[in-house]
Amino acid sequence: MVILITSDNVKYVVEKDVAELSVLVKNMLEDIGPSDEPIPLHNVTSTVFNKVLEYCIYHRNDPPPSDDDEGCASPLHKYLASHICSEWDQRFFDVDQALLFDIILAANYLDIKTLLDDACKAVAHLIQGKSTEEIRGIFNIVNDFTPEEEARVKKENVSS
Amino acid sequence: MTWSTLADLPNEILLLILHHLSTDDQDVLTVGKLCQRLNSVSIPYFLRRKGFSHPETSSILNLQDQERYGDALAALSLYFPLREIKQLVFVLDTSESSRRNVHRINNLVSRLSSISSLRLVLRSSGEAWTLDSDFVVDFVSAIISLLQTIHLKSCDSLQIVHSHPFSIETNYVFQVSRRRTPFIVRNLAKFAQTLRGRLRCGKPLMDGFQGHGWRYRQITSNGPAQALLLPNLQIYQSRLSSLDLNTDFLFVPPFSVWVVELMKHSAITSLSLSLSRNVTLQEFRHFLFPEIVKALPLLQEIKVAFTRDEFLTTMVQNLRHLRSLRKITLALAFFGDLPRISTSMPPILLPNLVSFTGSLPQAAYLFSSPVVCPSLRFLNLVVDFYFRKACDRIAAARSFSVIKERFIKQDIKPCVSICISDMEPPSIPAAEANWKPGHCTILKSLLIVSRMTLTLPAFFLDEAEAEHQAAYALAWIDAFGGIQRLTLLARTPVADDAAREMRDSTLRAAIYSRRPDLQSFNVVDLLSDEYHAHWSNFRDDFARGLDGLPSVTMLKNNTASPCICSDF
Repeated sequence: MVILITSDNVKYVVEKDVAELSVLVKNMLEDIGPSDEPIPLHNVTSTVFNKVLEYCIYHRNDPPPSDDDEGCASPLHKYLASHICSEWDQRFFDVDQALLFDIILAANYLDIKTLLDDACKAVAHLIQGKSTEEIRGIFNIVNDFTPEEEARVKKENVSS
Repeated sequence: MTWSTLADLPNEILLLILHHLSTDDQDVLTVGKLCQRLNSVSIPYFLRRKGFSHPETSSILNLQDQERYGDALAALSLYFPLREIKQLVFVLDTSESSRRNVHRINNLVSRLSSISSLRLVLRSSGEAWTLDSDFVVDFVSAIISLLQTIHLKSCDSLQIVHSHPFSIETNYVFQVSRRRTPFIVRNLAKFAQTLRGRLRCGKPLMDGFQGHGWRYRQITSNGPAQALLLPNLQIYQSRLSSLDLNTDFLFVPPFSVWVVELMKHSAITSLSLSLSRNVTLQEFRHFLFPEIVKALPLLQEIKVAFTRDEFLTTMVQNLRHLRSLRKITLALAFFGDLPRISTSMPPILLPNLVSFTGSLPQAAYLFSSPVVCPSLRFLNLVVDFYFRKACDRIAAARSFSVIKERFIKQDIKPCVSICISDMEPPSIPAAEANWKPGHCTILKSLLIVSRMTLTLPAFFLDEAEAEHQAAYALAWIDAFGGIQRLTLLARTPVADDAAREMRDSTLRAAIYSRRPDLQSFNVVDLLSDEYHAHWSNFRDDFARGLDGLPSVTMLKNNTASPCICSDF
């Protein structure tokens, strides 16, 4: 068992194999050796960590992600990988955007590659096939282009 | 900390999201259209994926491949932090989508604060162009407005290659006016023209461009070309210093007049002209070349390609006005004969001329004129069987003797190099037994050639191939007598490195046994998809236009291996 403390001082007792899905935690455990010292997670709140933990427990038995799949993956594989998520994953990522982005940042901080990838896929999924206006609406993005730049964007929309 | 929007995410995460979007290019471009920050991350990402790692330095877009490069053009237009581009190269065809692309290129260029060099290469396809077609008029006006944008930007170098055939309306005629047209007739004609123009479309757009001693009839009396407006260039002096034009329509009035205006309002020091068959000898003599020379008094480098050698007469007659000229390059002409230089021609002072490149008859013609060129250091001759079939050794020797005489008169000793392609071996001495006595002296003038590149023909492809090649090379070496540096270009494939070494040593042994004092010797193997050509002997205008570019089309690259003639 590993003890983890989130930034808002909530203590979690987690099984070692689940905790070690985070490369950050795994490295820390290796550094400090066998110990009962709690590991602080400075950048993650308990709200976000609940979700992260949920993901890690569900995916604890997945085969580890391989690093070399980038190079040899065919376009079809890439397509499938970016489009097909399990039903569980789809439900898991069906959260409000602030939480989704926090999960991404937590996954990045904790170094959980599969979670980071899946969460980014979920964001990509929200973007795919939509117009600029739709995406701005979804993500609450302020159009800060100068009038001149805006005119260029419009021109490019027309001519492409 | 709460991250409320996509735009707040750190770069590495945005890149990961873009990575998952990559199955559709449009989605990545759309992200670039959302806001400044996402633009600054997603557009460079997109360009890198399309192979444009350093768009600020050089981008080559082959828009014939619309799917790959069309989006890249959009991305370049949308990449707002990109304000300067050194080199932009576009290869287009002459389709409807290309016309739109010319507009898009114009959009991109006008957005930039500076662009050093723009090359626009339009590949020929389809029927001949005519200004009776709405499509052609639109295309031409798109190019003209791009030219105007280039004129306004601080662009140093511009090239437009459009080797598409262009047919001129039957009522287009270039005429030299009679000097003394009565005043009243001239004014009446002018009045009639103005009136006709007003009645038809409010004001005369394409008036006759009557000049000093020459005039055009209307290129089109009606039809879509009436709608073409040529922008006024007079307000601005551009920085354009290098211009390379190979376009039929830009040399047809009224565009030719406008192009000369463009030249007047720039600081061009390097000019490259490839003239189409539409430019008549008369037009070149009375209008085009004199006007160009007048517009470009600071010209240092000139390259001219024409289909008939007679055009050279006009060029030589006007050279005296180009006192700063350092380099002359002529393309080999397919047709025509050069007349004799008139004895009354005044001296042509070219104090800065350093090099001349062209065919042997062209060189002989120039140096038979009273040209004074004390700085001349390089005379580069291109001999190519593709252009002119016959190679008469006596005639060649006569040309060399004219050149040599000019050199002796001025007490200059330029380095004379020659590049010989696809040529029959020179006639063997036995066949020259019945020469007249004077021929021997003339043949001695061949000694001025000191450097030679020789393309070896394919013989029987047997074991004795290298011996045949050596015999061929020796025949040429003997013909000139004074060769000190030699490159042999081999096209015959060799099996492996060992076979190549054996061939090279056979060639080397044969050549050094004849010329032990040879200063340099190398053999260059041309790959199956390489050819060897210079600006002077490119097989077509399109290849000439792509000179110096990495391969952007199916076209084969010029060999990059060092040859004696590499700097022709």
